[in-house]
Amino acid sequence: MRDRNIFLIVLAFVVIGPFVQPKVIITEMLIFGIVAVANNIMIGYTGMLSFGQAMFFGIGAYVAGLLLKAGMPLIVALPVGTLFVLVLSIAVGYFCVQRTGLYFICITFAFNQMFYFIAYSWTGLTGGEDGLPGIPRPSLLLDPVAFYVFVAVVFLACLVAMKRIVDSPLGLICQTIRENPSRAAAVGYNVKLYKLTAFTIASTFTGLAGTVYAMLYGIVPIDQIHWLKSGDFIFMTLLGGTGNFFGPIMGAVGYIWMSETFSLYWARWPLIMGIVFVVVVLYLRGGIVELIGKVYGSIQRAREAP
Amino acid sequence: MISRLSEKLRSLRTMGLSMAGAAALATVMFLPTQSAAEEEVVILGIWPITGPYADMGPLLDRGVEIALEEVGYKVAGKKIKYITRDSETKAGTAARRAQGAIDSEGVKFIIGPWSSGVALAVTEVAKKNKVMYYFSGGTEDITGKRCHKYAFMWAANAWTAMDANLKIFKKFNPDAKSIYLFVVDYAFGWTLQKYVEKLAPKYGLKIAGVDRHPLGHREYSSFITKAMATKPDAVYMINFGLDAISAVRQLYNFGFTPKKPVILSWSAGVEELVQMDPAMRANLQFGTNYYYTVDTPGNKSFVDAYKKKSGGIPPGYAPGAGYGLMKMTLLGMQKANSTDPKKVIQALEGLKGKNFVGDFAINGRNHQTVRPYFVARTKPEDKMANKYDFATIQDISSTEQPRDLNQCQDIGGF
Repeated sequence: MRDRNIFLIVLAFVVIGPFVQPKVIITEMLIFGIVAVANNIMIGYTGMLSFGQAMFFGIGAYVAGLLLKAGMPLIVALPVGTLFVLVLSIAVGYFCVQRTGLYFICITFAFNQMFYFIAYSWTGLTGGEDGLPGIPRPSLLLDPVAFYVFVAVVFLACLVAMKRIVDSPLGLICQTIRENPSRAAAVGYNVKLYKLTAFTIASTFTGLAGTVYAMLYGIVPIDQIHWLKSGDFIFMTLLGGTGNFFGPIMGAVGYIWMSETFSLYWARWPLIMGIVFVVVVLYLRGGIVELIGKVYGSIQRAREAP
Repeated sequence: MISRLSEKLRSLRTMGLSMAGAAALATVMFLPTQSAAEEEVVILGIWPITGPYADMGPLLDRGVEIALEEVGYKVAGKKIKYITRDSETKAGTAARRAQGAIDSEGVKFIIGPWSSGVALAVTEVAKKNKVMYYFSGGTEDITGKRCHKYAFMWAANAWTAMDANLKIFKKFNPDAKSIYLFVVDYAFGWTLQKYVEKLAPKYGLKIAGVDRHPLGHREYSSFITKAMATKPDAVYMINFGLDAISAVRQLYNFGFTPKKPVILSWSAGVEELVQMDPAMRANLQFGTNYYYTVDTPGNKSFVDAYKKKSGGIPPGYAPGAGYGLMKMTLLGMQKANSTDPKKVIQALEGLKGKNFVGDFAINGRNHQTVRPYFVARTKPEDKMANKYDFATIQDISSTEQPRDLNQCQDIGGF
């Protein structure tokens, strides 16, 4: 299935979604859609599995939240929050990319835990376990429709930006590193530097999503910086499919939709989520995109058959 | 030329099909939910059905159902539509589900959840949407620095609770001079610690030492040996659930109890005691917002109704809180003869009366329910009338938090 067709599906969803479900749920899907696509720049394009992305999401949310609470306008709070995450991700990423595989995962996990406990203990700044409350929205975005439109614009802008990045030579080098880092190094690419670049890009977009999230409920809960949230981001990415740029959006939508729907009908709904995860990992490595592609392909073949 | 045109048409058709397919999929996946009908009022119970407090969710819900059955699911001339959502004990998830239920189901009243951090997220949602919110209990911020017109708290204030614990401890241990604190290391634990440190001198008690531990801590041996070295007259625990149960077990294994008492300052009551061996819970004092032997007519009928649903197990704090939250919400609607949140809030402000826990009054300035806090002491095994006869209530305290300690400066307007 062509990228353009998948993009049209995403666009249709952005337009139709708020008419059939509470805007707040669709808004969250778009915010986490940005995170999942950003996460895929590392997982799918560069072959790095980070268990620390909630750290950047949470810090972006905290910084933007604090600035908005301090009376800063949106036009300052969001860029500063994102810039803060960019600088932090360079510093954290520098240490993380020194190792690969399991050790890389462990370092990202450790950094996430470290920043979680800083947020947990620094109650004067972050509110600790109680979260950071009372984050105002600019008056223009008080209406849920206006806020949704704002998030949709940010979402689409992020998609365009990230798509351009992965389609650029940088994206191709990242894929080369994913396929064979030794060969990439042998032909002259600085593998660590490119990994750090991918890490920083993914983390910065994740932080940007966090800055938007801070305004959604007017609070930054502590669980948004917990490593379990990093796990959710990975689940979203894998569920949607790492082999396609747009796949993780479907993962974010699918993940939130499943948790919202299943939790209404069965108290032990996480069991279903677990089964879905197992099925995807074992039989549907391309995620939802692969599933849609197979169905689409079958329909095409049936139509073309004499 | 013709082939290019045909390709273009095919491309347009594919594009249209993609969008139509997405629209159809979205509509099927996200079927619109029904909003509230005019003749019904929708109340949301947001409970931990999964996550760290998953065992509490069904108990809280059972308490709510009993309160609703008592009024036949009708109030102020309207049917009650009671819906629940899983908080997962995650603030972000709870906020999303509360907001989603408000948008799609027309929720006007929220009760729950079972965690301070989650409650502080839900209270923001309630404020923004002008939905009345009754919180079970925990963080004093709901009726303190983050108070607002739409939020109420059912449990006793933290200051009231800590004062009651120390008062009863001193009454039964007049020679006691020092206590050692085990404190769970998060905001609510720190608040309780602050009050204990403030109140202890009033009862002639010194704090021999304080150890903070993270939530979910299970290994207390290092804390216990440190505490025992200071020779305190009691270990005063500011922790909850399995953390508290684990500490009690280990204090017994180290020989601290039953020689010296252990105080569970904010206990769930039955739900915790039932998990302890009788020998381990000997010489235990616990403070709780609800204990099933409270001697009021309302409580007797609640306990009887609950036992029928639970196979004879009496209710603890969780079902008591569920029942209490719904009773108070319904009482407000009955007094206002309306299900309009503003009218219900006005009816509740300053309201005084008796309910299943005893005399209550709602402070109109901060929306704190001023109500009894119960302090009980466990019974020796040979004195227990049945396997659930854990303890005897020693005293009841409703001392209100002094005004200068309350951080609700201005509750604001509607």
